[in-house]
Order: sequence, then structure tokens, then C-alpha cells
Amino acid sequence: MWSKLTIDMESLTVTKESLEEEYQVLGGRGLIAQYLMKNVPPQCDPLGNENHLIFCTSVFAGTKLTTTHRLSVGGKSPLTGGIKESNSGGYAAALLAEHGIKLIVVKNVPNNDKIYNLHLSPDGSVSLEEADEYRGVNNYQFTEMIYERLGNKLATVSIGSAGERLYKSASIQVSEYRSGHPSRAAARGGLGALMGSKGLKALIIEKPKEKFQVPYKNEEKFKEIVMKLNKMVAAGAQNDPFHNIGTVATIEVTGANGVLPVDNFSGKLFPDYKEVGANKFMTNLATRGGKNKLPCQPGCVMQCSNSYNDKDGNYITSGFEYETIALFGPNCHISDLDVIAKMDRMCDDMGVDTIETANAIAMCMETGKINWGDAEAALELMKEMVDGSEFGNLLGNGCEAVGKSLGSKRIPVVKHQAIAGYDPRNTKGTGITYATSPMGADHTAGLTMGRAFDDCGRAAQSYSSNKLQVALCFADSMMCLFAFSHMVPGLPMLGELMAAMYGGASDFSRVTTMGVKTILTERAFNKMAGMTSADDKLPEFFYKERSVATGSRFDIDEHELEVLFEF
Amino acid sequence: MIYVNKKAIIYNEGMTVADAISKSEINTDSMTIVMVDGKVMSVNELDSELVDEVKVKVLTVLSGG
Repeated sequence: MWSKLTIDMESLTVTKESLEEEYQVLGGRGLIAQYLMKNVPPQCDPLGNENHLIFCTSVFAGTKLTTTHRLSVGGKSPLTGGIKESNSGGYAAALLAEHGIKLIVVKNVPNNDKIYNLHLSPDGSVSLEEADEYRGVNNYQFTEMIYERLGNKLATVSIGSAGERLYKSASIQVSEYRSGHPSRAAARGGLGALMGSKGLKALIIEKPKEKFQVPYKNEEKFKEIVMKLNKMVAAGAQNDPFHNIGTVATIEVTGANGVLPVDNFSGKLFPDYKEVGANKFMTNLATRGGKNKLPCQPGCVMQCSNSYNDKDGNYITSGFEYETIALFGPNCHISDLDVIAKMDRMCDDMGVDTIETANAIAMCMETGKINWGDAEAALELMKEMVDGSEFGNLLGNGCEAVGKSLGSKRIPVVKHQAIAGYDPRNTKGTGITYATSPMGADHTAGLTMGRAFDDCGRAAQSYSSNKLQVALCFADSMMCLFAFSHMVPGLPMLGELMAAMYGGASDFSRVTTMGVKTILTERAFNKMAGMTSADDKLPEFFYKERSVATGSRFDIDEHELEVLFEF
Repeated sequence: MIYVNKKAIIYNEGMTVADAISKSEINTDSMTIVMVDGKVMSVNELDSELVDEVKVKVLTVLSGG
């Protein structure tokens, strides 16, 4: 049986017990949706006593299914006010599974002003440790201090100063497999602020002396299916640009087709997009001792991560991704990859979402607080976030807070969360996903670009977004979506895989039902939290302003969106 | 020979990247990225001529990063 840890931050107690039967077969996003609906009042204060912070592993945690070691983090979002699941790669989920722990629930808030680390030791014991010496310490220094104290056979899940200050853009950073850098993030929705509100600085998960034995109903069958699925993903990865280059490769297509956001989603093309594109990135890696094709978690065959160095060969950042490059780059009219890498590092270090922060910086440029493309001024503003100045605090609360404060009429958010690096006028299915996802504007909830969507026309975009959103609900419960995309021909095997692990039905409808149930539960939570169909809408300017690149505007009407989830 | 995703294609003088991909019968779409000997080419650069023995990789973005 998988176990559950309950951490009460008011009484400072830790309880370890068997996970409830109803949650044993769940994981990731699916588990978080069901848990929150049952245990957290949707109208609660996200930073108050009633909200819970959830960490959990996936449906297939502890197994050799590739990329299954994602760490899902959940709670009522301080940013969106709705339900939130944000997942991350890194080493933590694999080690939690080795401890036999599927779910960690952190509830209540401390009645003192101390902060704490939750420490899982090699002997399996779990303790809350006072962590005041780490107060205000940012993520890179924090991990170094922990490695110095305990060695490196561990994973950290931590907040930086942004989470401690309760910034609504605060992320939770997870240490990467092998490198140990805190460069993987459960970034979206301000869950770092929720962790800060609980007085929890970090989870420190040491490798256990005795590895938990995963309970299978039919281990032989499970391994047989996993071998087939892993081979499928490994074969697909060979022709996947994320494996061969990194997610930065996406710049090469979005830069050419008008999907890449430029100057706060102005709809213009960015002539210098290749300055932040794949060739520049690969050249910089090759000439400076950087690397790509790195796994962020054990057993990953996608290996899309990277390590990016400066001109002198010194490490700047890792997990340097498309979203960060697109939004700090062309969307802020910046074309210097090294500067963008520094911004990525600053975000990981203080612990904020790069998407939210880059959009907040674009708001400063849009309203004339700083000039378009002024990277030095942008870095200065980000330093204010680290230092906690008044304006730094405003920036830390994200794109909408900054845009409203500075008087912008073009604030790119949905459900208060900043839009990712795809202009929805030129990928309308993705726009539908931004508008209707219970998570707010989130590209990982259903990005409808590519072969399957190119020829299906405008009318079918809602259908595509709907199907993909459901599919990614179960993907987010099981594995990394990059690996999932190569598993499409073998998806029916996921039903058999669940049966081999947990027993019960082996048909694929078991899996799709999990996806449908998850998204309907999330939407119900949001409705109870006060959201309405008016929240399922893109910002007005996408409906009114045409993309300069293509002449297109977002013309999916409200009625199409209202019926999207009537299954 | 030209190698497209490791598949050998007979080289003809004047052969473009697009020709080689067409002969390989690999599908492309709006999310396709092509690498020629490790260098990424845009979709609008596919009429560039190839030299013999180059390696072409046709890569397709399947999901967002």
C-alpha cells in the first residue's frame, strides 16, 4: 500500500498512514482534483488555514514507465483563485516513490513566525525541522547548503524569497536529477506563495536505505507493456526536436508563422527571432561547454533538458525552455539569449514563474515604465523582486497586478494567469484551451499545433481543444506530456497498464474516464469558488486586434466555449 | 547518398532539402523542423541545394515546451 503524510503546520505534527483506498489508484492531477474537492472549501482564502498544499506522485510512480516521475503540486491557487495543479520534473517524485509515499498533505498555518523544512531521512523517518537559518535564502544557495550538510543523494523541493514573501507568481523549485540544480519548477499559479503561507521552506527527500516495493497485481504483464511503451517513446524521441535540440526549437516554427508573441502579443513578427533560436542555442552550447539531451528525472528517454553556460564557460542555468525564451525574448523585444538565460536563472533562484514574470516585465514596457528591449532595465526590475521593494512586490504579484497598476488596456491573462508563449490568434485551438482550462491560461493543458490540427479548420478547433484537454488531464496524472505525445499509438495499452498495476478493468475507457472526471471536478471546484462562464474568455484585445503576421483575430464565440465540456 | 532520418536516398546534383524529404516520404507540417548536418533550417529555407553525403533530420514538434 502507498502511504500518505499529513503535515499539520499548526500543531507541527507529522502523521504517516496508509493512503485511502480511493486515492491508491490515482496520481498527479487526477488525485489532486479529487482530494481538493473533498477536503478544501472552494471559497477559502488561498493563503489561509483552510487551504491545503498537496504534493503527489503519479499513477505509475515507482515503476520503470519512462517520465512517470513527475511531481504534482496542488491547492487553491493564490493567483487564479481556482483549483491548481502544477507539475515538475526533477528527482523528488522518484525518491518519494522509493519511500512508498504517494501523497503529502500540508494543512493549517503556523501560529508562530518560524519556517520549517520537512525532512525524509534514509531510515524512513520524517520530521519537521526549524529552518530559520534558511530564511531569505534563495534556491541555488539553499540547495548548496543542504548538499553540504547531507550529501547529494537527495532531492529538494523549495521556495526562494518570492515564496516567503507570498508573491502570487511564486514557484516551487525542484532539484534536477544528476545536476542537483533547483531548475525544475512547479511554476504556475503561485503555489510557492501557498507553501510560504504554510511556513514550509522545503521538502528534503533523502534516498531511503530500503526501497519501497511497488505493489503490482500482475508484475510480469506490467513490465511487458512498459517495455513496449518505452520503446515507442525512445523511437519517437529520435525525431523529436525537444530531444535533439531542446524546447527552444519551437522558436523556429512559431517565429516564422506568427505564433511567437512579440512586444506584448502585438501580433507582429520578430525579424531577429533566430537570434534566440535553435542554431544560436546549439552553437552556444557547443562552444561553451554546455549540454543538451539531459534527463531531468531518472528513467527519462526524452532527455530534453540542457545546461547553458556563459561566454566564459560558467554555468548560468538549466532547463532553459521555449516559454522563457519566447516571453523574455521577442515578447519583451529582447534578442540576447545570454541575457534571457540570466533572467531564467534569477527566476529559478528567487522562485517565480518565468511566464508570469516575463509578461509582467512586458507590461512595464507596454506602459513605458521601461523601454522595449531594454534588458538592463528589465534585470534591474527583477532585482527589485529579489530585494522586495514596493515595485518588486508588485511585479511579484504577476502580469495582471502590474498591468492594472500601470494602466495597461492589453493585459494578457485568463483567470488572472498570464498567457504562455503562443499567440492565440494564430493557434485558435490553443486560445480555446487558454480560455477554458480550469488552470487559467496554460499551454500544457492543450496546445493544438501540428499535424493533427493543421487541416481540421476553424470549426473543429473547439473539438480539438476539448479532446486534448481531457487527454492531458490523464497525461498529467501519469507522465511527462512530451513522452505522452509519442505514446499516442499505444494509448489503449494504458488501460492494460492500470489493470496490471491495480487490477480492475483494462479497457482504455478507464483512462479517458479519469480524464473527463478530472476536468469536470476541476471546473466544478472553480464554479464553487465563484468563477462563471465570463472567466472562460480571452482578453478583449485578441478579439479586436488582428495579428499583423496573418491578419487573423480570435473569433471563436462564447457559445462555442460554453458547450465545450458538455460531455 | 543523402540520409533522411537515417533512410538512404540517392543523391542527384541540384537536389534540394525539400526534394530529399519528398523522396523519403516523410510527412511534414507546420511544426516540422529540418536539420541538415546538425544545423536547423526554416521551412522557407528548404529549397537550398544539398551536397552529397549530408544527413538530414526531419523533426516534428508534437507538444509545447
